[in-house]
Amino acid sequence: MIIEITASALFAYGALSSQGNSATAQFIAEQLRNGRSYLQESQALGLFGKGVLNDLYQVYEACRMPDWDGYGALPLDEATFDLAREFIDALPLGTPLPSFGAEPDGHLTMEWHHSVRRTLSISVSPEGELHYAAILGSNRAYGTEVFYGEAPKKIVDLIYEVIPS
Amino acid sequence: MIEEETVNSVSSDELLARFILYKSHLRQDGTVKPDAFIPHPWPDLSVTRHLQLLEADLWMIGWTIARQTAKILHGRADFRAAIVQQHKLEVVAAPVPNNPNHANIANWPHDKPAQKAIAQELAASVGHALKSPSDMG
Repeated sequence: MIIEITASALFAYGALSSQGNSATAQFIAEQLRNGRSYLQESQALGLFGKGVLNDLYQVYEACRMPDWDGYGALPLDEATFDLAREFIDALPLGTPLPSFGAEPDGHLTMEWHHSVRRTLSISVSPEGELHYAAILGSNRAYGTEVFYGEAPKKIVDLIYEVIPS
Repeated sequence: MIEEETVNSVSSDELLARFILYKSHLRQDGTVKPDAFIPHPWPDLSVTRHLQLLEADLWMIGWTIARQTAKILHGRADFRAAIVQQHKLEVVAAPVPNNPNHANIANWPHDKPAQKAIAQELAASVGHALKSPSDMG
């Protein structure tokens, strides 16, 4: 079976969210995921192609040992790094670049920052939770989404509210 | 000499300092990320009160912390106690042997997203971190 998938389908973050349980639906979802991963390597479209993976790994390397912050921080573990990488891979193509950091509880952070009043921070926990907080002018948003392999719409929407395309 | 009562009670107009010992807690433009203010897994966030310390004395405390933990002091984030208190947190004087001005920011909410939201407001109030003077290293 040959299934052609257009680039526009890969751009849309909703493309992966309509998965059915049939073998065909799972096959299509797998092909979409593989196609997106391939395009994430693209220098023009993908976050990985823009060197994001290297930035992420540098943070992981710097925070792999306890007390990396001088205040008794817990180390980042490999599972957290892998989840962060998978989350980036699941973001829509063309998503603006985040910067990476770490928090003392061993969470890896991604920040989309336009200004002090337009900023979004996401913490990736080892359990696959995405804790987020955003300042959007005079409004604030914060909460938790669970990462199941797809970028939560709430978080994608916040990224584009902070940094409009 | 500072009165003992003044030392124990932290007023809202006091300046507090958080020493930055991890490079990625600062953005490329020198502003402070909220990550620097997350207390979890600890209940409190460690800070130093300015009180009547001279700049050089404050930096010396930062350098001492950096030396004790074998880290590089990347900067200092100063903010008013008032911003902390606005978010229903408390600043509690907690002197330690090498730092009589040490204090803890306590009473943080338990859930992580709420902590992040407060940390973002603290970071926003700081803006740019102060760079540590190179001649003290």
